[in-house]
Amino acid sequence: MLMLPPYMLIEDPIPKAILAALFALAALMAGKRIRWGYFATLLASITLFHLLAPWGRVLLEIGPFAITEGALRNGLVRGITLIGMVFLSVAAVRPELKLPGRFGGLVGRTFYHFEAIIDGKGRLSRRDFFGSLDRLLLERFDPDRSDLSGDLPTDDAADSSAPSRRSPRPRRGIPWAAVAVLIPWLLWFVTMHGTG
Amino acid sequence: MRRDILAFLGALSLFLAAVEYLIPKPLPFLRLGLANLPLLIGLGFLKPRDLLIVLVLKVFGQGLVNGTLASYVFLFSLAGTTASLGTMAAVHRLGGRHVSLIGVSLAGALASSLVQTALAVTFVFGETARLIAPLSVGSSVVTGLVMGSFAEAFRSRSRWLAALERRYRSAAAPGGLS
Repeated sequence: MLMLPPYMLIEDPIPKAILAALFALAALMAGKRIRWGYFATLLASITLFHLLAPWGRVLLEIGPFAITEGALRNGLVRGITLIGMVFLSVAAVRPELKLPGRFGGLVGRTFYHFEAIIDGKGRLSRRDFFGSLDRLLLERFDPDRSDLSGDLPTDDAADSSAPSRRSPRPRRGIPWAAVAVLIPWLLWFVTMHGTG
Repeated sequence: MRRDILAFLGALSLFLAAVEYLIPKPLPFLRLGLANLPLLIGLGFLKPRDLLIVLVLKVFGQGLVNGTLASYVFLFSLAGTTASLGTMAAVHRLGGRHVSLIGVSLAGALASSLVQTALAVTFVFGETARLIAPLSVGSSVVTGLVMGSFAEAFRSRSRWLAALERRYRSAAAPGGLS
């Protein structure tokens, strides 16, 4: 998250796009899939809406529609910013994230049930969607059963503050993390002095 | 027991979001809102605090599953779902038996759409994005009606929901297991 402030402050689309590409690479290295078509469409639509409010030097005219430098720059910067934030978030956030306290325990239980329901998704029928969904839910969580919590993870199990449950932090990743945090700050510093 | 019920409703919300992802859409940003079903059916028996807990589990869980927890997507989802739940709860309380889940769902869908459109205009697309407001509101009318019909049908047919409501009421009653 230390990478976010300089990323947000950079106003030049090119260094911003470089950082967004690095975030995308980080997401891919984290094993996540990126829907390139979706993000390309998102960037195009954000840019298009900004182009509808012309501002600055005219770059190109297509009939009555004028593509202006200021509007194009604003649209690209806004779109790349949002997409880069998603890439960074996708790279950094994992479903296995352990949260402390009662809320963490509740989230843990939620994902426990989620995995149980997902395991049974093959039983859903398009022809009898309501009936098949109802049967699946009864199978995975029958409210009339007297004891439902027997095999559920306890709230303490999701408490990451318990020292005995902490996994050892990988120290060898710290220099790489430091480099990753420095890159956006350096780019921001360079763009600040470049435009200054 | 109460916490198990809330956790399961949160999980159901995540599951329905995954199901909706598989449904082909005529417009790429159109969302049916299947993940809101637990909130919609929960209006009839969940206490306000528990409805909020399910809301948080839904939004937070989706942020974790999709990895968008630290991005604008999470904020949009939180704002839209909160506006939707607040509106649905108000319509449900004020309308009582005179408003079905179809009407409640429609109101919630409109509220969510308006809030998210306002956020999109302010933070994403700029002022010209007001052009998409009619499309966004129009699509939310359709999705609200569809979701409301789905919720009514589910509520009338589901044995699971009837059992869940019984169990929750006994757990939430004074002296019941929490």
